[in-house]
Amino acid sequence: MYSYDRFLQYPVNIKTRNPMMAQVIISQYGGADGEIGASLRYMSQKYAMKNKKVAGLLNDIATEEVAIALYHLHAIPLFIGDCVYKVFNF
Amino acid sequence: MDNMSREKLLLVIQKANFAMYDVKLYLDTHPNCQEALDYYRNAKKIKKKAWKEYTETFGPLSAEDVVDQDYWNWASNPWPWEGGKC
Repeated sequence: MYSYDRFLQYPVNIKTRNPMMAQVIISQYGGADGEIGASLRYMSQKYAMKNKKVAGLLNDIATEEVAIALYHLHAIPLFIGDCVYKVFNF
Repeated sequence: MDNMSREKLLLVIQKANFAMYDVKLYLDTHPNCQEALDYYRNAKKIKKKAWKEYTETFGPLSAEDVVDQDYWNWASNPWPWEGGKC
């Protein structure tokens, strides 16, 4: 079903520090409007589709949303780590 | 694609991978579109080539690609979240 590939979907390369940005991303992460919530909704809704193509599309979009949610989970510590490093000059 | 740095090679994979995801969604509702099918085939070809070269040069990107030897290097190689830009 699902597999893990050892790379970030999009590269992370922090050039300018922005702790506010990290805060925004974290705030968007969870809850009813977050990506994981959306993904599970699509996953559940595909069963109600009469049109097979749409059901397949929902499945693939849901998979993509999960991948993006997990990407954020991986990337946020890098944003914070990079930002904190630059703010406090460790 | 020869002698590309790790970052550059990975970027090729990331781009081709994303292209495949994107056109997959389109093909789900347009299964007969030849142009989209060509696009998919092309992206897949690029990804496969870059993936093979990355695996041979830098190590496995998927647990399935771990080389059969006496040492399991999957968990001991750097992980993407460790800031190694992989």
